[in-house]
Amino acid sequence: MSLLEVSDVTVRFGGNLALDAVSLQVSAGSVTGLIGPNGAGKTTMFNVITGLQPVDAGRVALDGTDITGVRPFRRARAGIARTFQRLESFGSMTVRENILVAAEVRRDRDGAAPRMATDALLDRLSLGDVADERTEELPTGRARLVEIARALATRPKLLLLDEPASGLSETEGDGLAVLLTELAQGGLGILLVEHDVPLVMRVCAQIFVLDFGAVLASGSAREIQADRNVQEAYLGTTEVVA
Amino acid sequence: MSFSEILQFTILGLATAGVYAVAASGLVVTYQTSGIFNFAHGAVGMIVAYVYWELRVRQHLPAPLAIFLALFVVAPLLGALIERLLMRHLSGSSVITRIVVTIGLLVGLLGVARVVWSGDITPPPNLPRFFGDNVVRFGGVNLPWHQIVVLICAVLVAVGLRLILKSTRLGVAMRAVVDDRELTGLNGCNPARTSMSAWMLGSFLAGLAGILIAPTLPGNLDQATLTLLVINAFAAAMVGRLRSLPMTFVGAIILGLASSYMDLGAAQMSSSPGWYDDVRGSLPVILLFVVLLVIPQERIKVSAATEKLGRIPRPSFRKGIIAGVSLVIGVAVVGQLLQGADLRALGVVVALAIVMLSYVPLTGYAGQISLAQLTFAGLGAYVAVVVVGPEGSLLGLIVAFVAAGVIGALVALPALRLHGLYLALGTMAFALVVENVIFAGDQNFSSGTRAFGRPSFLAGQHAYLIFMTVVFVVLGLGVLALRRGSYGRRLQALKDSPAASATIGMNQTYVKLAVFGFSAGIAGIGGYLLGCWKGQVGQSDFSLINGALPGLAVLLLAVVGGIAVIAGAFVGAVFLVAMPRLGEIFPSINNLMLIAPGLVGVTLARNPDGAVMQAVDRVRERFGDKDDDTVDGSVAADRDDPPVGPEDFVVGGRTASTAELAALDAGLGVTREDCGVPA
Amino acid sequence: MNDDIGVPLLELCGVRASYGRIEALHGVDLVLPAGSVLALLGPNGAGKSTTLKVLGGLVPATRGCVHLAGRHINGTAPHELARAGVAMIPEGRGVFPRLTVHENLRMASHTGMDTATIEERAYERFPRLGERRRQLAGTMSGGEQQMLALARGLASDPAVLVLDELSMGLAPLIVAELYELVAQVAATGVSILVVEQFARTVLGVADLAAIMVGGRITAEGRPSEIEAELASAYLGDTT
Repeated sequence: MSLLEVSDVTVRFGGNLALDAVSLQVSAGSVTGLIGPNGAGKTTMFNVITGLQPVDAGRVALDGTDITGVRPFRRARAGIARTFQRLESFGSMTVRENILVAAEVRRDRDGAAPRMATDALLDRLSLGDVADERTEELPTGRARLVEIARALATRPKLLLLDEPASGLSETEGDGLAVLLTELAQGGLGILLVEHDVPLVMRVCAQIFVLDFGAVLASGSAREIQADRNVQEAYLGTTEVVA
Repeated sequence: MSFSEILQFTILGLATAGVYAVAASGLVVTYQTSGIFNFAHGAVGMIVAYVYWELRVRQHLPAPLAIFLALFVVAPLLGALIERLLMRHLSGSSVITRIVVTIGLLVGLLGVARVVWSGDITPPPNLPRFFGDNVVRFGGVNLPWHQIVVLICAVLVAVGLRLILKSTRLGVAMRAVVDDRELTGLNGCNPARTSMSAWMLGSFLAGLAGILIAPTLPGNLDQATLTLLVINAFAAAMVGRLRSLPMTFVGAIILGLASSYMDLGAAQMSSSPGWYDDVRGSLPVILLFVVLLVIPQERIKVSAATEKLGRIPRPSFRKGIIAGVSLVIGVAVVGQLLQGADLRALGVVVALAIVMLSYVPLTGYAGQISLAQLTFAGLGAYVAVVVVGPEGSLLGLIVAFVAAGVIGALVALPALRLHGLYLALGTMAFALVVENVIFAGDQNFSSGTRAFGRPSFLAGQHAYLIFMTVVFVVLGLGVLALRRGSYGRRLQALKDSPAASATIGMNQTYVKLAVFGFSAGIAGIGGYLLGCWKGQVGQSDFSLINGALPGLAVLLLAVVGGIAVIAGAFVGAVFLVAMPRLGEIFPSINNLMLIAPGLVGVTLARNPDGAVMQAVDRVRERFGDKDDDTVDGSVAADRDDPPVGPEDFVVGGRTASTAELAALDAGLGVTREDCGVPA
Repeated sequence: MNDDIGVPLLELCGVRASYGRIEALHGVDLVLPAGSVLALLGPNGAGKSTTLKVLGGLVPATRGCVHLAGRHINGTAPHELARAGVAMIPEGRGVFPRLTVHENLRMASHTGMDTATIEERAYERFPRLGERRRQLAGTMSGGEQQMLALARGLASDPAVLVLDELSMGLAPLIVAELYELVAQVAATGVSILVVEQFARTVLGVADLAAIMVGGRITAEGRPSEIEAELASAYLGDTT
């Protein structure tokens, strides 16, 4: 059984089909990629999984339990955490407070010491040097790492990452790849939306390609790269009568 | 009830509806083209009505000339000035700043009217009806010509607006600005000038409504009544969801007819029951409240904040305690030096500081806007005095806290789904209903003669003054503890990003209810203390816009002091009380002091963090001192904004990468999936 | 299609631009010769849209120069640039959705041309728009909306047409159709600068192409010279 099971999800905005009967699965202990051109529906899918976007049809299940229609904060407590493409860090708070507040919400449900958890995450994501800076003032790349740390502070089963590598330097990007692999080895299920396709190819066991709100292709990295449809979705057709 | 009566009241109702529609459409036009909801819309109408009265009645100009000058010269000019001097500088500012600047304008315009016209005229002057009291007979009833004129004007405005917006280049440009401001510029059309035209038009419509309605009101040119007429416009405009002009007219007609038929009902009964009159008097507010709760609200929005986030200082307990002790000593010393009216004023400062303190967690930390804090103060005072009786007891403080807190949480319940502007309007409606129904319902409270006593050991003025200051300090330290603790972080998280706070598992319902309750409770304590200090208080002490300490000014000056700063609450209260008091002491600056609150309010466009933060910044710049505990990046950021280097641009020791720029590009051109909204 | 490369109509030299503290363009040099079609390509976030926004006056250049037919235009407001002959169609839909086709075209009259002439030309070029004169732009199909955006852009006889992601959210067939229209427009002598996600599609109509990566131009040349580098720039190594 998959950790996350999205079945035939459809979302309409007015007349537009943002998602058209999309199904995908994420397994625990591995990284799954979700790629596609701008406007393909990737972020909408994230909003559906986290409950910020209601669905017109279809269902979402976590660990075999149907969570379609469950409120966002309850899904978070059930083990879903995410980052945002357009940053949603708590800008007026320090980096430490960003992580701490997530750890404290978690503490409400168990006894783990939030401050220790926060220090560990600051260390793990190399954010110690900016721990007491206002998050709003950070460059985009570091702010993305803050969002990842904040998401991890909730100790999720499923982590959704929306373009985590955008804004990272090459070294930081490599560090991210290692981190994702380690997290997956630790049993976490990760769904990764990323424009840095080489990174996706490197870390993902399974990749789904979205285009116009529908799954265009799915498979391993090698299968995706060889797919003609995928190339066309990214580069366009050559048959233009000029 | 005869047919002719129904006909008569229908026509009267439609005439009233016409005025509301005219006013409301002006509100919609400006809101749509500039994104600014003008709380001062009614005040603009009041000013124009006064200008017309000045020209027509005092200067004896012929009516057509006076109308032309008032509506086609003064009103558009006023609108253009407002846009150019204030509103243009508000792009990118937070909702609270936008709201408070227009409230500052409202308070300022009221001050101007008092300075220019009230000095020598009480009671308020009368604006004559068009064609005097002449009537026309129609269907067996007498209809005043004035109401016919009103109806004709409303129809002309409806037709005229439609023509302007659909068929003139300017009107099409206004609608274009609403659709996409940036694209308007790319079409070769200057969006700023278009917005200015919209403000001129809005001002004209406000003025027309003012001139039409003043003669039909019981108080005629009463400034506060005219200013508050904007509530009727708010309600009608909200039926059109601040967007649709036809629906706005529908809203106005519902409101006009409903109130006219209720008048008819009242005329039928020999003596109408109290509740009936309450509902009749508060009809627009009730409609506003209902519409706010019924119109669909957006879900939690995923959108990167474009507005600048305010700074929230985080002083240490040591500093808090030192400041608190100094304050108590300071107030005690100053209190010894003062007597009579000045001493009374100082006590009012302390009590109001507590009411303003209630804004710090609610609006400063959690970003929830409430116009009802002074109302909660009044409710706390009222319930406490009813429960503990006029003898006075410390128990009253607890009763006030609990009562106001529970009511605050109950108000928050329906208001949970409201954000920003809608929340401000919802709490405004609540404040007005309470004022008109509950405060006015108790005879002693409405006349301001409800007696509040103090325990015997605090009977002396100085003892009670120090007691109140200690209460302020204790509550201030409580708010500081909140700020420094886990719950304070949650409030701040809620303000910074509702979407992210949900996805880390925060129950926003609970957090919002708690902060509403807590802050209303603080306000309740302030209200009860105010009552005990003054001995007698009532409706006019807790009124939103009328009275000595209007609730709008309380919000205004809380923001001026610094909405997220504990000390700012005290500073704001000093401003609020000192300004009129200075005017009393030095009559030569009395006029200035009437306008001053408005003036400081409108300067917020440039300094949204408030006076205290600004002063602290100045001191720090000079002495280089930096409070380690204060999360404050923007001072540093202003100073070392990195110069654009000759080579690579370096951020945090590295070059901005390709992917980072992707985020930037995405930030400007919104792709359809970013907001979950189709392109 | 023009094989002769004309005099520079639009010229950027050493242009830098920033959003807040972060610089997005690190010195962009780009020349659009009169009467030619230049395709600006590159992966997401390379700074292409920012470059166009500098041209449209929406983002100021912090360094460097922007010249239109020899005149300095940096710092000029968007509405003044539009009147000076830069017609920009921004990313997404370049139309006002709640205005009718007629009203959308009327907005173009702010550049100085009268509405009747604008409409006459637009309907001649795009007859489908004429049939929908009273329809709200937002209710038309994506392709028709972009047609309207093109018509609006061309209405003022611009010196240069600047197109940002014309294909955004459109099906491939519609995109191909739109670029046929662009090619027709180019044939009438209008200079065009175009940013496009679907690189192969746009190379079919371009005279010149430039690849942008990381806020800089990394390659320039004829489409045939550029095409080989594309796949790796977008998808990584595809072998």
